[in-house]
Amino acid sequence: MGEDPISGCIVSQRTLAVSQVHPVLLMASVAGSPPQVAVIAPQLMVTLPKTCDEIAHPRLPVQDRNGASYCYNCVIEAFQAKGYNLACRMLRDWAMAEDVMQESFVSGYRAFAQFRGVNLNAWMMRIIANTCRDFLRSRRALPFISLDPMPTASDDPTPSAVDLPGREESPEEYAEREELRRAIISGLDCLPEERRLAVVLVDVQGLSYEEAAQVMNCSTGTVKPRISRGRAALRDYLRATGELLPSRFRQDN
Amino acid sequence: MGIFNKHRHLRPEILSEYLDGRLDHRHQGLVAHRLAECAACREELNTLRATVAALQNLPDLPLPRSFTLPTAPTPDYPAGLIRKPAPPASLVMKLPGWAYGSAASLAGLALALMLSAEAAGLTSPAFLVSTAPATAPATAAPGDAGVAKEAQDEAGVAAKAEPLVAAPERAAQAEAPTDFQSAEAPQTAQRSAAAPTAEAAAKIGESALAENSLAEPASPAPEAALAAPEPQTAMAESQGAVAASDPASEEAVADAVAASDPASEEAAADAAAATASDPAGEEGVADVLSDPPGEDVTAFSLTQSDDRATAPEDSLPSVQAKGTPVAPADSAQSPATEPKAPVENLGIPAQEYSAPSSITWWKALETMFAALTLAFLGGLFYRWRRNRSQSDA
Repeated sequence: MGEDPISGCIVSQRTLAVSQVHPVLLMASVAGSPPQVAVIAPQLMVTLPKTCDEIAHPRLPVQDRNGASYCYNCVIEAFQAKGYNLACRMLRDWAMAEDVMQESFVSGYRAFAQFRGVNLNAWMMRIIANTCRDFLRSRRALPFISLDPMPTASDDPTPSAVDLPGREESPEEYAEREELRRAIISGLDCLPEERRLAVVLVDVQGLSYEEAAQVMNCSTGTVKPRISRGRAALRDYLRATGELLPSRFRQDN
Repeated sequence: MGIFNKHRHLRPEILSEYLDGRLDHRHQGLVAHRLAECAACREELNTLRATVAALQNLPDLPLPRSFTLPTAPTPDYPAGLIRKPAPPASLVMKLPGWAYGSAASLAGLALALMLSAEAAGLTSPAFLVSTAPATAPATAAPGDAGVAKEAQDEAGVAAKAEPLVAAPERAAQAEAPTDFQSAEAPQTAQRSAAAPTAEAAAKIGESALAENSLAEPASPAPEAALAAPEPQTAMAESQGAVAASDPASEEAVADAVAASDPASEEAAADAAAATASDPAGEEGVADVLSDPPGEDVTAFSLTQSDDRATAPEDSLPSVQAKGTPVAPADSAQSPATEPKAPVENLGIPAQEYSAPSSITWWKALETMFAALTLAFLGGLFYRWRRNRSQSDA
């Protein structure tokens, strides 16, 4: 019984107790290509707890394809923040994101036996992305011209560090940042579905090309043009709306 | 595609990959060189880089609530949001659904074909020569055209039978197996020549009818007469047996006329028993008694040896109606058939013996197909139930 150093998953075929630690790395392990041992950004690493303390949630044991045991509620708690963000960036109506999350996690629970135990992040994100697609295509998401205004930071009652002006930040800079944020959100909505998903996965969520290809269930050759064209289109939108990119982002070479 | 567009500027895809550091060394060098030369390309790269940075710095949205799944029923989900995960798929579920459906239909089709073949008399040995003229009219009672025809055939046969009965001494002479005789003997056992014989029987029946003017009511008598001599024929492997057949046949005729299927059998048996003084006759009686009631071939079961007795049982039911036409058919086939045809059926036992094994094989095959059909249908039903319960989960 050993731990795969690349994926961090327990490779033994025996049923494991939840007490096993299996940090889920975000390295893609695409069949046929060697896993990239590139930089692992710390914020992307998702770690499942050793044991389910059952304080925040009831214990929900599941088993993947190899027989490794997880507490599914622990998995949910590890991925729900990222998943919620992904859903919000994909859907025009943020209120729908909660339904997407609920539906995605229930689907993941039912389909967990099919998880091969390699990349839990890609697996969960794929389920969420597919649910977002279903919502968008079934027109359950509200059309772009919506009577409900997009929630802004000021509308959000929950205080959050990201929304409050930083100590070093002047009010003008804060306002500028807010404007940019809104512009980016609007710009993302203008993108086609697949390009939007590619840009959100790679640039907003920080996935690699290979992981994004896994989530989108396509090849890296398909992901690359989607990313580049999505970025270019967003850049053009920002330029067209006159939203000047903050000078501190400008760099030379 | 190269890294440059038609204006010899770097393509956005190349710049994007350059930003992510995914270009190979050669292309990276080329891009860096071009960037040093072209301000427009530099501007492109900078704006792209700023866009990516803005995306990366997009603040995360706070989570409105926890999305962990409850295991207990909640007000929104009285039955609980989730149920236990489905158990590992059993072998029955792993096979595709269409396999079960096609297998079940194939097995059912095979079974239907076998049953219809059996019903059509293609497999019953008795259809070749059916002796039971006594029972034949009874079974043909339901009054379809075939039945009437068979009755006519039987009448024709009976016409032939009468002379047979009248001339028992000539029966002894019928040592030489004519077609008619040989056909009559293996009635119970023969499975071969189902259709041709039936057709021949039909023709013969017609010809017999033409020859004779016997009316239908009179058929029972001649049929019984035919039945009587037939059993006698089988029994009469020796002339001695033939001699004994005469009184037995007469009694059998009388009994057969008055009785229904089972009764005729027993009457024939009794008649045979009463008159049979030779071991052959007694064996025949025993055979008759062992046959299930309603069998036309009861009469000609007597004609066979002991081991043959049980054979015809399976094939008889479907043959009852055909037995009679077959018999006259065979008789008519030999123009030189003497009235005393059913005297000897020597040399037939070989054919007769082949019937039981084939009957058993047929029945076993039918049973197997029936079991297969039920099994696959059961598998389909099981899969349907599992899918239903899983979809509810």
